[in-house]
Amino acid sequence: MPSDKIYILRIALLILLTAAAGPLYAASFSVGAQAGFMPSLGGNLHSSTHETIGVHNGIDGINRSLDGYDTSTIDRLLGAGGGIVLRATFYDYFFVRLGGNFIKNARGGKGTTLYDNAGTPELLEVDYSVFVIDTPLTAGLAVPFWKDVRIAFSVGAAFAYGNYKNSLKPESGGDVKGKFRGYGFPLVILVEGDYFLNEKISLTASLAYYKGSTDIRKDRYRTDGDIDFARIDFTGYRFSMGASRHFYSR
Amino acid sequence: MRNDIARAVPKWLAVCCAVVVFLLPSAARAQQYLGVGFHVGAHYDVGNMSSYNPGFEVEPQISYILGVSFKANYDFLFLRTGVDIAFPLLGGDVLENSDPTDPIEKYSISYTGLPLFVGLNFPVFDIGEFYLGGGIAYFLATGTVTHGGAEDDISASALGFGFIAGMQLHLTASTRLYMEWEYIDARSGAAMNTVTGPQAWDNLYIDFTGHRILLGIMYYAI
Repeated sequence: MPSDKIYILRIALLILLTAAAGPLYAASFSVGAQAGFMPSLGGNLHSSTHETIGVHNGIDGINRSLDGYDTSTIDRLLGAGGGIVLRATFYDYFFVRLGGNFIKNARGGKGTTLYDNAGTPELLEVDYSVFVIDTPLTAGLAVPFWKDVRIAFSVGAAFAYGNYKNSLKPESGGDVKGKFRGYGFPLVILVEGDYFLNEKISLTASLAYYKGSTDIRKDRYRTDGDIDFARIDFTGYRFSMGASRHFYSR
Repeated sequence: MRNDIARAVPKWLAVCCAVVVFLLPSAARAQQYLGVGFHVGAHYDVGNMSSYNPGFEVEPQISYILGVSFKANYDFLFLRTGVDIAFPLLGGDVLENSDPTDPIEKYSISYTGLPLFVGLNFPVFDIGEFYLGGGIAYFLATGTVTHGGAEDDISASALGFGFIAGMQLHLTASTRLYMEWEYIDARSGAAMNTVTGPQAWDNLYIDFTGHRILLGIMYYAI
């Protein structure tokens, strides 16, 4: 019984072969660059170490405050990044899109909270960081409206590599760290609009939803006396804007 | 208070907001295209209480939204802002709770949202337009939470990030019917104590994250 990953790989291979055959039939190609953001990069970033301090939903539940303790809010990660986009359009309405993206935490993930140290509240300095590199491959339909606008909807999958680090530093000393890396094949749904400034240049706005994560990964820090486990979650919405250069073969 | 605001809004974001606000009137003037809209909408699962505590089985809060929107179009660009006020239609209930240390029973949250989005307009022939943008939103909430048999007031604020996807349909030369889908990710800090142990610290936050569907009429005054 093939695993989900094998199925996804087969689908990705099929889309890739379709894309490779594209030059024979494609009416247009485009190369573009985009920049954008992703709220809640990495999901809730939960790991097994969080359970030891009584937190069951990662960064979402990490915040605690109490009179007399100087805590600060630890916000979810806001990811910011950019990438390149290659698109081939067939028979005006059918297209394949291949992207390459890098996204990294730009806001949030740092602050001071509290944990229960044998019956006494103690300050805990927390730091999270994540970066993701991914290559989404999607295929779908593109609908042109006159010559100014094209709106496209596509679905597919991405190869995504993630790197997630966390650090929990109690006020009394020590630093419990976690470092995880791994890859997965999240499913991707994408809506994209092109506004053509002229025949060759268009401005783009895209909205993508990724769904998927890595397997459970083991902490790669070996010297902090703690072994942690976590998934790297690629799930979430990404909004991007950019520009594309279009090439026409006929 | 000033420190809280400074922490919540980083410098680069404040500069971006200032640029956008500065450009809003000039953009509208340049295109002579400024719309004022009134809408109703809905937000399902206000508070995201089941993700707050995996031990909760929740009947989620459903809120209705009344709002005013402003949309300025400058050629292919748009700016969309406004005020949304969300009132509980059905309050949230924790139907089953397998976490005895956090005895939340009911909750009811009202909030005001101030969104600001920037994006691209995609005209669809002469009948309307599709638009897609990203941006920020600031939320201010008040409400009540019943836990351990007692009802307490809660208030919290949060800055969030998200997107808007909308369509407008021309009704007359100056009025349009619009429908929008907003998704904003925002969560406050700890705002209330509901846990019975191991400490009596504030632990409960308000999660504003979710999808909002809006339907309204926009009048283009300029």
